[in-house]
Amino acid sequence: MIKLLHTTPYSSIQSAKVRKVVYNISEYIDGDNIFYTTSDNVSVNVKLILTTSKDIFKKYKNLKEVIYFEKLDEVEEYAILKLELNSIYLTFLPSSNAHTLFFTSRCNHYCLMCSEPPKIDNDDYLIQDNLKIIELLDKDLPVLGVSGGEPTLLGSDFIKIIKKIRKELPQTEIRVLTNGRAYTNEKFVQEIADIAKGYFVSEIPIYHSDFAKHDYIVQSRNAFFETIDGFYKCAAYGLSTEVRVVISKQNYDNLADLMYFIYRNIPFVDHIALMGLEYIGFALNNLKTIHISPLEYMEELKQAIKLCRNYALPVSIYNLPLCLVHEDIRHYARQSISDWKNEFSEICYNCEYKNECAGMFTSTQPFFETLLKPIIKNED
Amino acid sequence: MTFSPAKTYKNFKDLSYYQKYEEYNLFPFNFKNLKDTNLILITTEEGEFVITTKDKLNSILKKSFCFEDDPSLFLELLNKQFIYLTHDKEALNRKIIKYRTKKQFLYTGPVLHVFVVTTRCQHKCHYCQITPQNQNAFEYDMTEQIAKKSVQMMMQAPSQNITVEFQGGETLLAFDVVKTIVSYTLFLNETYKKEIEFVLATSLVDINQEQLEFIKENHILISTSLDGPEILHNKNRPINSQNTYKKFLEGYLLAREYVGNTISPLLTLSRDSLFHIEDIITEYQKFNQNSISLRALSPYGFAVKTMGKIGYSAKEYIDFYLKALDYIINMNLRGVYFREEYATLLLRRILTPYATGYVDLQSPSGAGMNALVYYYNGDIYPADEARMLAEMGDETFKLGHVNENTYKDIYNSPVLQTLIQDSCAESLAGCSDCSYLPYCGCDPLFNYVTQFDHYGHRPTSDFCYKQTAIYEYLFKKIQDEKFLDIFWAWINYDTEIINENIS
Repeated sequence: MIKLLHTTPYSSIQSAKVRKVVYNISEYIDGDNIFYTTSDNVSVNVKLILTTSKDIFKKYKNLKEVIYFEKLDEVEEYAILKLELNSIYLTFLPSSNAHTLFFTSRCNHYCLMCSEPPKIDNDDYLIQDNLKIIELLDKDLPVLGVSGGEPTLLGSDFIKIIKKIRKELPQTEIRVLTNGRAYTNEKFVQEIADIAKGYFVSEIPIYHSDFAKHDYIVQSRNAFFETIDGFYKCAAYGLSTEVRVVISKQNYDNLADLMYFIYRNIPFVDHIALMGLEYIGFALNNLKTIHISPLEYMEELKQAIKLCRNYALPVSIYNLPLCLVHEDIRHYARQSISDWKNEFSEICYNCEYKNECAGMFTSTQPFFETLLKPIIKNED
Repeated sequence: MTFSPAKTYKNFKDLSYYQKYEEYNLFPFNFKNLKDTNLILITTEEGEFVITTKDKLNSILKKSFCFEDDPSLFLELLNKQFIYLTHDKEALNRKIIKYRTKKQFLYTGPVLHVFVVTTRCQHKCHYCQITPQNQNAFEYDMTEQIAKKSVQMMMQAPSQNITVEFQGGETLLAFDVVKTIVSYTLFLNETYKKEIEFVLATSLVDINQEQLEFIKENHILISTSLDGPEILHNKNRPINSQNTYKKFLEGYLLAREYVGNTISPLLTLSRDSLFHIEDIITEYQKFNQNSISLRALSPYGFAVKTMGKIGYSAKEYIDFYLKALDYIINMNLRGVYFREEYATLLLRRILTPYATGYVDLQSPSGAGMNALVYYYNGDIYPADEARMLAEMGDETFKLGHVNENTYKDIYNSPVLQTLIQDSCAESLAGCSDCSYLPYCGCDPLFNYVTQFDHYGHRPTSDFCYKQTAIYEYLFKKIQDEKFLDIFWAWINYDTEIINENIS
């Protein structure tokens, strides 16, 4: 079963060409041959109709392949769909602001605040799914994310998929969210560099400058040292890296030391993202251990940003609404939340900065709701 | 929408399961008492430092120190690689990478190429480091043949980035040579494709429009001399009985019309300057400068003869320098961005993980390895000071001649090989166990001139005396956040941050 990766909030499309992926028989249909429509105006070329209109269904069911859904309001033109018995998965919506391939739900970490809790089931079918999806993606896609789970666990299949992306989408930047431990294998890094150098960025979390605390947060011994080693191997082969720091109760008081550690040990990283928590998945299992309000760690965040400025390390704040970030460092905050899990509160509509704001994860909203405070320009 | 805890397939473990700090070993490090305090400065060769107490240091050395005694110090020692955990197999590797970063200058080859285009000069500066020749003594100009040979040799250097610096004498008196070198360099560079920067050192006196056209057209940077306010400048830099300052100002104003504010004035400190630092800085600000380099006079050339009159002892210099730094830091505290360049260089070494090129303070010495000097007559030297020594009749440091030797000859010459071998501070008595070692370097030429061999003798070395005093000063200051902020603003040339602090 493929994960539902992208949705758009609104769709007024009455009829659209869509692309379908059908994996079990290794087949896909592109463009003209598949049509999503509610109006009775279907060309002869169309082989497959998706519809929410019973009339259409009745009219065409003996002429063409027609699939009826009670509700199907997020399909848009040139979306990629996966069809299975009684269900449809939106795999790719061109209008989304973030496109990510989901490689696996297995992981060798078990992070206290994981938003995407790992599973141990075999999900190798995702490999074929992804290979197929890649063929259908728009060739001018600027960025394609790779996520999981830990995508590098796929090993040689990881290389195979990256190779496929490079072949089908030669100009697309590949951004892989990984814990970097697989990069301790120099051959693996070299293989990636041979395929994708220049267009391949690894986004690697480091949560604490104390190796034990990092290992604890990711629930895996020796994680810290292997991850750091992974950064070095990437640098040695010219692969770009970014550091991702999710700020929690476990590490907010370590941000300054962590920035120093990064500066003195891996100063070659392209960017550091300091990120607010997403209150979903394991974050809810471990709420007491990890929850802290952004207002409580604002001083530490300010200090970390100041250090990055001294160290000339590019830094951004992700996942926090602007009103919860101190105004001195507000310009470091980015609109980082993918459109399909982004929310604003009622009160946000009074804010003059709403259009520049990241908003909140849907899951985070209950935790931030009472803290929000619309910003009015030129208050004095 | 509501969310609930996720399904788990194993339990979460406690922090204690991951804490394995018990067994550790020491990496090598140096330590030294911080003057006038009870604190000890310990440093690694990669330049990481920790300031701690004598008791703590003792227990670290005996390995009786443990995580529970002081978790934050323990982790600091671990992350700065003073100690390593025995179960951590990659610890040494991380240290090596840090060290390599710090010593990056070893990989670059000669970056600075100094062309002494003439030794003729109209000035008769009291502190001049060379013996200036009469204005009409054209035999002291570099010939076209020597100039082209020199450029060919420069292009053979492996360095991708190259700075071509024109020195004199007065370079404007031999401007045709400058033109030849620039054009020929650019011509050859169509093949070599290096990144090249030209710097013209000139007094700016009598500079003309034609010269400025050429300077502008070829993006040549101008480095000039400004010794302070009119009285001081005239006293230090006489041209017969004329007002040198006025002549400099004329040249400066004209040059500015062509190249804008890209002219960098350089200060030479004479004895008189020591008492006028405030006036000097005000003068520099008048010329839109937000920095100054307060280097001491070199013990070479003309200056040796007049040392008694215009010179000063190392102690006098340091007394002046540290007071000047106090004054400059206070300006910054009041919200006026102003930077002292030598302190900035040392701070960059102390506070950043990167290598800094500065040929006079590297280990091994940057002379020859990172810089070459092409003398007007075709002789090649490892440093400006070496050719000054040659002008005094001592050719010890001559590496060869552009007509007789190839770049390879020069680099493999016994003179250069010995110079490099003898200038690794890591292996010199008095340096190898010094806490300031990672930030310092060697000047074997200075040692040779003042103490008569390459190695020098640290306890009586003026070089060591000055360096130590400045490190002590800086390490005291960086423990205070308000000074540290200023120092980072210097390192990053970040003028905004000083203003922000004030507002």
